[in-house]
Amino acid sequence: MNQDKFTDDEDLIVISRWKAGDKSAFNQLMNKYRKTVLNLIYRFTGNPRASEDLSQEVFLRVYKGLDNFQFKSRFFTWLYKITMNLCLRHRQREKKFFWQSFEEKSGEGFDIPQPSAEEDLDRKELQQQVRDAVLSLPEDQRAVVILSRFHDLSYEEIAEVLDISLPAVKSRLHRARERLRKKLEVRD
Amino acid sequence: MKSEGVIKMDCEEVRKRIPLLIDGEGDKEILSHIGDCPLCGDEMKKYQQDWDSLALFQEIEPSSDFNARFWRQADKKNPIEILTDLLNFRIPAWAFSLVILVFILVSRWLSPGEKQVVYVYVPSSPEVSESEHLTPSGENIAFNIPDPGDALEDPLATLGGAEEEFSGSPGDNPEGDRNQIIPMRWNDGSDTLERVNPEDIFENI
Repeated sequence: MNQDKFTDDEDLIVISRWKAGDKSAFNQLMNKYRKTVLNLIYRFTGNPRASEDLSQEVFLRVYKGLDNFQFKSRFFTWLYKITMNLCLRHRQREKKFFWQSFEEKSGEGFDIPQPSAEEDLDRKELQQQVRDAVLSLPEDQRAVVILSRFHDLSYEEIAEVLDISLPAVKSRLHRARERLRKKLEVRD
Repeated sequence: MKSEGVIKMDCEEVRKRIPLLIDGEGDKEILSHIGDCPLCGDEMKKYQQDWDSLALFQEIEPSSDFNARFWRQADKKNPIEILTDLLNFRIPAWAFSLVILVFILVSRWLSPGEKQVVYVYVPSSPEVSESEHLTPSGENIAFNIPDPGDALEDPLATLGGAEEEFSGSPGDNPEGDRNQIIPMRWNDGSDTLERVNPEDIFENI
């Protein structure tokens, strides 16, 4: 990839400032991306508490690796790549040790947006149904759905973030849509 | 006009390809079918609704102390960094050399003498050339070779005329093999020998 291709990337300007010794530049990056990273992880893990911790871990890795960032890709694809890798590792760990408590799973004690009193029960149920449907997808399909639906990444960008081919992105998305259709069928 | 069977088959095929259509991969033929077939059109709508309904998976907000928490962790040094900092100071070369010299002298003074392994080849004749086997202090050593079938109860080595106790178990040489290599090691700071397990060192011979 050509470096010139990304000279218009505002993030790269901020990174250059950080590399030049401007400490506030990292806060600027963090302020811009912390919610994105947090929700990317949250929608992948379904665990708000772990999402906050993993987001911190993502930014620590970025902080330590930024010196070696080569401007060969857009910053956000690099950031997403780190995030997705961490998500996958977290899921593997979780499967291995099964340490996650019920409290963590349910998100108790964490600020999850809840429907207001005016919102009817049906909507709350629907939210839960959608959440469960997304979380029930196999990891490879879930990652593609989240990046496409919630982060508006193009197929090419998804392929770069997940390090897979373009046909693989399309195939996973296709299968994910079919699964979601089956999962959400009951509400029809 | 298409038969019912053909329409049904077409619908199944089209429905399989609806997800592709949503991703902008559909062709004219499918679009045309969906325009004409209310059931497939309905299915297409459902797929689209599913996709839209994912918006109900709501966002969460970062904690108010997200950045502060990050900086606390970022500024916390790991053990390797602490060690690097500790080592990252300059001392004069003469002081460094002195420290190294003292360290070498002290370690030599404190460390026990290195045990020297001697390999004693015992030929068929029990006569062993004394000159070939000197202790570290230069004394001659001779070896008693047991006769076939004899237990090794007798001292195996004699040093300067005095018998040295052999630590091997009786019966170590029941066949009285006279063509053998006996690996032995000088004990620390003395002229006593101890037998070394051949399995431990024979492969190094």
